[in-house]
Amino acid sequence: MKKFATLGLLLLAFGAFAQFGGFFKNLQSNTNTQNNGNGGGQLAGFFKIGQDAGNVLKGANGIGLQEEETIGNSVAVQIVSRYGGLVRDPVITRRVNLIGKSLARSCERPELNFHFGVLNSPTVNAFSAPGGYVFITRGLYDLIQNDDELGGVLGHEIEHVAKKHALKIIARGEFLQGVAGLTSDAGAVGGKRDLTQYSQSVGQLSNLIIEKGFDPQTEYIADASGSQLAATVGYAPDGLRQCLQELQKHETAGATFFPTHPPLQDRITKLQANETARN
Amino acid sequence: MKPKVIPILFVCVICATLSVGFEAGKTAFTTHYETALLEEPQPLAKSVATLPFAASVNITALQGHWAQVSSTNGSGWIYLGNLAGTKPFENNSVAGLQTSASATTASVAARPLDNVTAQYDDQEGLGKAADDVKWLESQSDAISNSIVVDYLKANKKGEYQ
Repeated sequence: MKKFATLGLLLLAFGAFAQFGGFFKNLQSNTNTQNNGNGGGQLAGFFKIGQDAGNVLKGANGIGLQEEETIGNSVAVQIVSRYGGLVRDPVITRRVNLIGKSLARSCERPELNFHFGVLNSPTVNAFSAPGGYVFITRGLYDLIQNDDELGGVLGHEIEHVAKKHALKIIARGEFLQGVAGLTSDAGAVGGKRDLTQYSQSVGQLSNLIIEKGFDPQTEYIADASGSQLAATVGYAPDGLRQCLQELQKHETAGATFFPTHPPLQDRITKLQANETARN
Repeated sequence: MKPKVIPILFVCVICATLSVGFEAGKTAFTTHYETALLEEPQPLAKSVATLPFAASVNITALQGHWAQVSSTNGSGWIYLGNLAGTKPFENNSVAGLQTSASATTASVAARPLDNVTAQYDDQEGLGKAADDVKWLESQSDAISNSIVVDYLKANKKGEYQ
């Protein structure tokens, strides 16, 4: 069993780096023809995982758009559910979408259909999910002073999506099984699929986005490139920094703003360094 | 293994951070399925050529939010918001759906796997939140590309600065 597991992992890694889809097909075909016992069946299973890994990791640079939107939609629903629902105010929603879409058409993935919403929560935070779902909380929206600051905040979240930060976590393998073969109808009974693994994967990814956040370096990259994006489109290049500095004034010991992001002062310091380097 | 990986990752992070901006003499890539190469750095200038998705261009000069570039299709100006410092990956699913015109985006055509998301929402008891997300999508989708362009023109943003 251990031998098969090792072989499976090796193939998985090989699929990730080589993307030899045809090679996997041939191997799987050979395995199936030699599948005379239980061990062969297990091996075929590992080959299947390896092949799916190849498909998903082909997606590490491009998980299928439909899969990305599906995962993103499910994560978005989780975010909305855990943050008090959505602020159903057409005026506010139009404003964040006009600014957000203005930025998104100049990001690295303008083909995505971005959606920008405000969460009905007094906390101060912002989130994004694969496929182009971006949310800021009502608490943050109310503290934002102007379009430049809003542009900086949305630019940061757009860059998480454009740079596929969440998708790369999926591709690293932690959530691989839940999304592998998502588009396949195999296993669907009476039109219903067994979504046990998918649910677990979405739950894990949602927890990471909602509770832990990305690692600090990923956040600093999103800060830098989000500010650059805002500047390219014509918003103040220091809009995000201004926003963070404004939040700092309101931050008290009892209320941490952007809890899933690095400390405000660290982000401000790095943004200031970027601005100095640009000038 | 781990001590070696961390410095490598750090270098990658620094490189990614530094590659955010554009510089004369460097290569950039188009991010839209059709990008107009313009005679002048103005959105309504005459188009010299149309470049496809992920076309490689050499930046010869920068002026405000515009890059003067040379490519195999000729030389001209491109708004920086239509360029990326690294070659964008053409997703197979997107490529399969994309037609020639950029009037509609591929993602508008590629909706989420509705049966999966509906089953997931139902299974997890997320009906209210799912309704909220549907509402958001309807509000957001109502803001068409032409409305965004009008907004950019009115506010002197994007290529209309």
